[in-house]
Amino acid sequence: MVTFRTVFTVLQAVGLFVARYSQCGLLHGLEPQFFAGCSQLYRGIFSLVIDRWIERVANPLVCSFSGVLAILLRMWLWTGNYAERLNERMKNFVQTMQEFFWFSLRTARSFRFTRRYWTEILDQMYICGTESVPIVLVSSLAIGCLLTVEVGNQLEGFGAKLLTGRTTALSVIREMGPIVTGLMLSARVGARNGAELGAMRISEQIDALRAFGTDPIALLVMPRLFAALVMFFPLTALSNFVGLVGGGFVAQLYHHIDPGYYWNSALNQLLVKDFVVSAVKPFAFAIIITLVSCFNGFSASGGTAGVGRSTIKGIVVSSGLLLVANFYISKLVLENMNF
Amino acid sequence: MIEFKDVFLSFSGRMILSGISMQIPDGRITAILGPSGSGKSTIIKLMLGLIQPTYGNVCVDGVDISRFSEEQLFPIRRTMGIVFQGNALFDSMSVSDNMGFFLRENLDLPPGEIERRVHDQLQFAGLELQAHQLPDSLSGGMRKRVAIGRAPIFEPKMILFDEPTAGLDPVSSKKILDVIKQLNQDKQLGAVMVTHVISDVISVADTVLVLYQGKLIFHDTPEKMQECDHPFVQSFLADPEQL
Repeated sequence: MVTFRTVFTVLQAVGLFVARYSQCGLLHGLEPQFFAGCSQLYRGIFSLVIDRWIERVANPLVCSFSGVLAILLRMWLWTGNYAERLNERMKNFVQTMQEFFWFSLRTARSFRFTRRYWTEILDQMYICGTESVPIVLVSSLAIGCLLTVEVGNQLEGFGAKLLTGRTTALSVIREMGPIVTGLMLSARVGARNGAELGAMRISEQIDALRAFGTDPIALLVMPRLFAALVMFFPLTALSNFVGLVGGGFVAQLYHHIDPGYYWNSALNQLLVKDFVVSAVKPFAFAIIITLVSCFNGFSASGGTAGVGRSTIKGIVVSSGLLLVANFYISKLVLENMNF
Repeated sequence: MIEFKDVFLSFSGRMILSGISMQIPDGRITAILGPSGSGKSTIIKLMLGLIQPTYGNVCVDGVDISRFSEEQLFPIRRTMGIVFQGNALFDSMSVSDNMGFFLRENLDLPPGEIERRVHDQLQFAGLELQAHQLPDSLSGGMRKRVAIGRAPIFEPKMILFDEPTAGLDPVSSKKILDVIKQLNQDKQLGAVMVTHVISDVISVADTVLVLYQGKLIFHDTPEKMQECDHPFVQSFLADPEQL
């Protein structure tokens, strides 16, 4: 049943195992590696034996006892392998979360160097704030106009076209303004952070900073976070304003609503909580976008392709988190504030 | 002095260094020789505390730095300069800014003193005419000289060179090796040079360490390499191109 080839392969595996793990020294705190190696070795040997058995003796196509047993054993091994891969992914996820936590903590602690890096902060404010104005203006104008067209069309069917301003204002200020600005900034600022820091990581510039005694988090991440915290709020306010103004123009030119009606219904119905929702979101988005993109940049590996991967990962993860955060902030504020 | 005490290092289950023990004295040029993937550059990163060993201790001047935090490591790192394999120059800064950046960052010196030190380093590296150029506009040899000029900016006791002649033509390589020797002779700076070029080792090194499969297989002067009976050292001396 167990052929010479199987025995040879097993002996080869044992040889490799001994060669690989004997040099690490079991007395040097590397026991987990040893046990992981044992587990892999035993599973490998067992898998080999079952494979040979299926190959030589138990034909799974024949509904015999040995065939069914072979299939069950094979399935058990597959399940084991799948569980091991899942376990590995979970472990990596938890490890990444731990690293992200420490990264965030170190960034928060490096706010004590704000005065020292004020020129970098001003540079970043210009890059993430001033330079982002065009894209924020275009996207918010487009969203405001589109929203007014659609809302006006729908309300017209109920004879309530004059409420277009109210609906547009609520949608823009509570949700569309902050989230569209957040997503645009996630793409623009997040991509820039991820690519720039990733390239610095790959070209060993971050290692050079550390090697020459400069804290790369204080120099590279803190100014970006500070600038985002300062600039995202006015950008969101600008986005809301431009969205409403765009909606006003469309209401007048497309739906032929008098601007007085539009602005009256838009502004009179807004409550403090609507402005609070809109004001809280940019700060949360600034933290999410900056930390996630910078963390991915700092973790880049694998050459230029690695920089691309880390940049994409940063944008995708921060955009996803932005949407989740948007939902929870709206829910928490709107449900708990009554004015 | 840098001392490794029974250092093990593994990444993702792969053993990189296995039980390395060695002492690197100040004021001498030590070359670390070995094939690609043998853990040479890793040793330099361990010396600076850029990575931590899985097991064992790395001591700098008798202080065990292997479990130090980043904040604790910064003053230790300033006692060593480093020249990275890819130079790690800041491409948005001019040559003189690259040299003066860490002085402005880390030392509370008057601007005149910073300018003086940068000027001295530019003069030493022979790059006075290129002071205001960006690194991208320089040749490979010049970029390497910028990196070498930047390394002793804190007046360290030792400089670590990661493949200092990699990718350079023979003339540029000789210039770089001359600069390393000059640093050692003029300023009594110790140097650790990671390389896989045997001619570099013979021309500048006082001591050679040979790494093979994560283990230290030779630690002596370059002349004694001929007497080493390890098959890798022998085959390497017979055919240096094999690396």
